Amino acid sequence: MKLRDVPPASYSFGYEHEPLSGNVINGLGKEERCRATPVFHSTGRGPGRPKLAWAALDTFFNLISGHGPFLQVIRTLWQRRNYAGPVAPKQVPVDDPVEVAKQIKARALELGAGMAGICELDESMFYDGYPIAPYKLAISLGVAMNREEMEWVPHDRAAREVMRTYRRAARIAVELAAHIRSLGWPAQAYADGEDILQIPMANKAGLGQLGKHGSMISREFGSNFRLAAVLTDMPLALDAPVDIGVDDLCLTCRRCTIDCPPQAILPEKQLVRGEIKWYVDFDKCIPYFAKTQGCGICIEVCPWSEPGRGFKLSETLLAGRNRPRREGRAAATGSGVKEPE
Amino acid sequence: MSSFSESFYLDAPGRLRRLVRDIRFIGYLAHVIWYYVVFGGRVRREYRRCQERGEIYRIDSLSEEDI
Repeated sequence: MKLRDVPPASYSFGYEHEPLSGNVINGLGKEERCRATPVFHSTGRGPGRPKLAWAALDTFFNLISGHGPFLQVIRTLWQRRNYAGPVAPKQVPVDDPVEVAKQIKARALELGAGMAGICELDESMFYDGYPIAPYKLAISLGVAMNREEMEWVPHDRAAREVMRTYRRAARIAVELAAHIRSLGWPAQAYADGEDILQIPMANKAGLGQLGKHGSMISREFGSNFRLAAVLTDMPLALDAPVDIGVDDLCLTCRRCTIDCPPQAILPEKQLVRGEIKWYVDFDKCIPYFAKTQGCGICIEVCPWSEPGRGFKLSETLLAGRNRPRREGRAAATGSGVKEPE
Repeated sequence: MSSFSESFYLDAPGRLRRLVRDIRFIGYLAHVIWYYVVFGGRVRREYRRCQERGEIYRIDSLSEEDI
């Protein structure tokens, strides 16, 4: 993919008094495991919710967005009023959680999701200081973005497509949650606007793996998709996390690190809240993200995001593990991806 | 301040209940649109002016509490 006219990482806006580093708030270098703290995107409202340290930049980001993305935000908000709703009084019993899970996932795909997986909820999926939703399971949903539109990153046209996809994801989650509630089981949609950590959920539900650029990578869509979820108490068979070979490529591939204008993508995994994982420098990424209305360069230049490439790439990477090291990596990285010296 | 869920999620069925909620929600949307158009318009103009003059637009005073 060839990038068009990428603005430089210089800014005509800024804080007079810089807030606490987002990397510190995110727990970069922190050894003990703990829940994440929201820094930037959040509804940030309501009782018991802490004020965001970077709230002003979040507001600035929202206010300078173009009319197109803003219209999509309004349409998504209209969906949001139906994220939760009344549960049918008569409960349909679930005798075979495996079969019902299949049916629920098939329903999600019918509604327009590109991927669906199920996992047990745990504390890591909720922000520190925010209430833990009273549900047992999460149905994580991946909704593909239109690649042709996304090739316009980091411009307004791609931002509109991102917001359009969030609106579609919200609609799918709302309809799936309503379907589950109609069967007499509590369910709530969690899409754009809800403060929940979608990535740990999608990871655990087997949708894909976390990539070097801090976003999910799946075999089906690479990183060219957005997440939503439905939380429920309906007993459903769980999916397992997957290993599609993301680390094998990210360890040597430098495409996103090179193409990131503010150089925010760290070349190695970092210790974050007691876990070694890929991490993006918040303080470098977010001002550029705000300036360009959502950037998205890293997820689109990612080799996995090239349409139709993910399955073959995964197959090659996984097969490469059984070969001698250099030969395996050379085969795995493919064209356009450089081997480190 | 009540949360979004407390304000707008329905926990019992009923057409009237839904209608009242939707009317209140339209009021909320109107407020969001007003904020984007009026206050946001002021911010966008000022930001553009700063870009033209090569100055830095200070964002410290912007707060989501207003939305």
